[in-house]
Amino acid sequence: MRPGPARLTSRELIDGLYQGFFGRAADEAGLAHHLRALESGEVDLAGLIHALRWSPESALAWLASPAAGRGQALWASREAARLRGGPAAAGEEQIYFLHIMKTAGTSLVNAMAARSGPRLCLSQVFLDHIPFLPEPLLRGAALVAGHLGTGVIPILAPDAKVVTVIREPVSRVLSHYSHLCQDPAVLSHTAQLTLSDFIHLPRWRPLVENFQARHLVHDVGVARAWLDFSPPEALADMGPPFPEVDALPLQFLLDYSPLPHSEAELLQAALARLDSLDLVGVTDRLEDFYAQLVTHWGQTAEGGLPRDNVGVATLGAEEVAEDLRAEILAANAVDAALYQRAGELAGRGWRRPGTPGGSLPGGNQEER
Amino acid sequence: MTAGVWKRLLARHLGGQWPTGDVVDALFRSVLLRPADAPSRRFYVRALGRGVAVDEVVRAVHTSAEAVDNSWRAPLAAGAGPALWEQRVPPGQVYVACPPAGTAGDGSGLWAGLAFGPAPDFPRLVGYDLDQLVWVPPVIRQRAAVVAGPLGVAGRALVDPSARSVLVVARPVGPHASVQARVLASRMDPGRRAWLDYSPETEAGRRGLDVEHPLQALLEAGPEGAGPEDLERDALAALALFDRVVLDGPEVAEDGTGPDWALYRAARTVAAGAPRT
Repeated sequence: MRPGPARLTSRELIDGLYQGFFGRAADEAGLAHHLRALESGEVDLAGLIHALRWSPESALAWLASPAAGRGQALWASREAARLRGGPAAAGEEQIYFLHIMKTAGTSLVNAMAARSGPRLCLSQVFLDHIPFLPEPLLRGAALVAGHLGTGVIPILAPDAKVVTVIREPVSRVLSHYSHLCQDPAVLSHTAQLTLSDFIHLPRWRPLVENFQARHLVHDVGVARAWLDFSPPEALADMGPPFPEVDALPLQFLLDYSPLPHSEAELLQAALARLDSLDLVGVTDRLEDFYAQLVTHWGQTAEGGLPRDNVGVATLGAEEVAEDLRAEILAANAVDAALYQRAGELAGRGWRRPGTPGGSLPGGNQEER
Repeated sequence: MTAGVWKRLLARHLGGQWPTGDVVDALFRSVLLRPADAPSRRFYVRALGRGVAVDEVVRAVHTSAEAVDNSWRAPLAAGAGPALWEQRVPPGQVYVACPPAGTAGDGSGLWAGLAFGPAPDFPRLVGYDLDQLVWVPPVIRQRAAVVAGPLGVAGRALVDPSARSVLVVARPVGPHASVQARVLASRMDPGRRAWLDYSPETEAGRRGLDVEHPLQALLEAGPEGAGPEDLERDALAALALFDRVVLDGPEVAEDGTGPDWALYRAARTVAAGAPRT
């Protein structure tokens, strides 16, 4: 082994990255392009590595890499769960936590992940990643959690238990507003955003108006993304006031694209969906929901539920001007009905096997 | 002047020389989405200092257990989305089942098979074995213009149902002469999902097969307990499941006995005839 350098030339670096990510030497054009970009300061080291690693060629090289280890990891997690849980765990179905933003779901997901033991959990997954996850993983993970809506359900394990939490809509909207005002990812857009802007501007309105119902019924076609349509093109088609590009266009479509329903249709569809779910909770009784949820893994919720991602400066409803509160309420007639129904369902616990869910428009019941 | 600008100027001043510590830091931030912890940083900087090639360090971080774990949340394959879409809808996907490596074929059959369909530069899943193909996300399997590998009938279930299928059959001679009939006779029960309903590794291990590529090993081992007659019957039946059959290498009149020669004879006959549609 020859003594190595304390420094690498740009050429050595680029060639090493090509070999490491793509399994081949850098071609002349690629080498020249990256050399120029790196040495002119157009990109830094991290930018260069990121660009090469997330390129289509890297994606294909990754897919062609030895895969048995990944399968073995999945199998080992399932086997370990079976061994730990005994016969009761043998038929343990997947849990899909349909996490609607600002319903206190982050606390739940983190708590579930912490007590998952050997089970494989796919948490904090974005909708844009779903089409690119391997089938065995999507169907074999013990827990899938994210702001993924219901269009993802047919892609998951056929017997997945779908659970969600609904929040009183005014407090959810206020929490969403506070979250945006503190989220570094969007701070450049929200630094001067007032609550009134948030409620009234078309750019933010979809996050205000029956957002929970949206996540229960809106299907942006994740199962056909990149096959029948291009998510970035669909996003660009939305036009102003929405941005032309976003790093997660499918996720953006779910959160912002227009709903095809009238309010009456939305109410009917969202209630039917809620009725069909396997476990429903409400944020203000989250501990009860958590206690029910962990029984699926044969556990009890000792020690209570640790809270995460709680906005430190969330506005209380009492701090908000009466007219704005009234406007939020008016924009959330469907979510208010959902919240009421969720409160009733929360006392029901797990839906018993064989109990029919609500009739779902569009045949989604059959898909499940 | 910001620190970033100073750094760039310094880099230029040094003639594009990058301290190995900076390279390791950037690699960790880009691949593992976190700064390098001190022991890892020390380890890789020392490795580079001892002359370990850069690509080995890149590969070690890129394929580490942590990177794999991250890839399950933010899949690298997502980077292929725009390129997949750019290709638009291929005129038709082609599925090419070609002989496993080590048979007497010369590879010409594979290229003949590919010629039956579009073969744009991207994406072509060529040379994937069954273990790899199972882990390729469905969206990529379905958008690929070509899926080709030693996959027999079993891999057919993993591609677009409307894909045109080509079977490549090689002259059965050499140490692996009996693989083709076994691969074609293997149907891999679709009711048992690999890694979900059973562990291919455990099954391959039980049968004394390669556990690094267990699904492919099971495919190439053929149905458990099948005799020569069973293999011949099932392999010949598999011919009818392909739209087209081509020979790998020039046709030879040479003949032999056993299921693989029966398969070759039948393939020779079919390949000489009109294409199946």
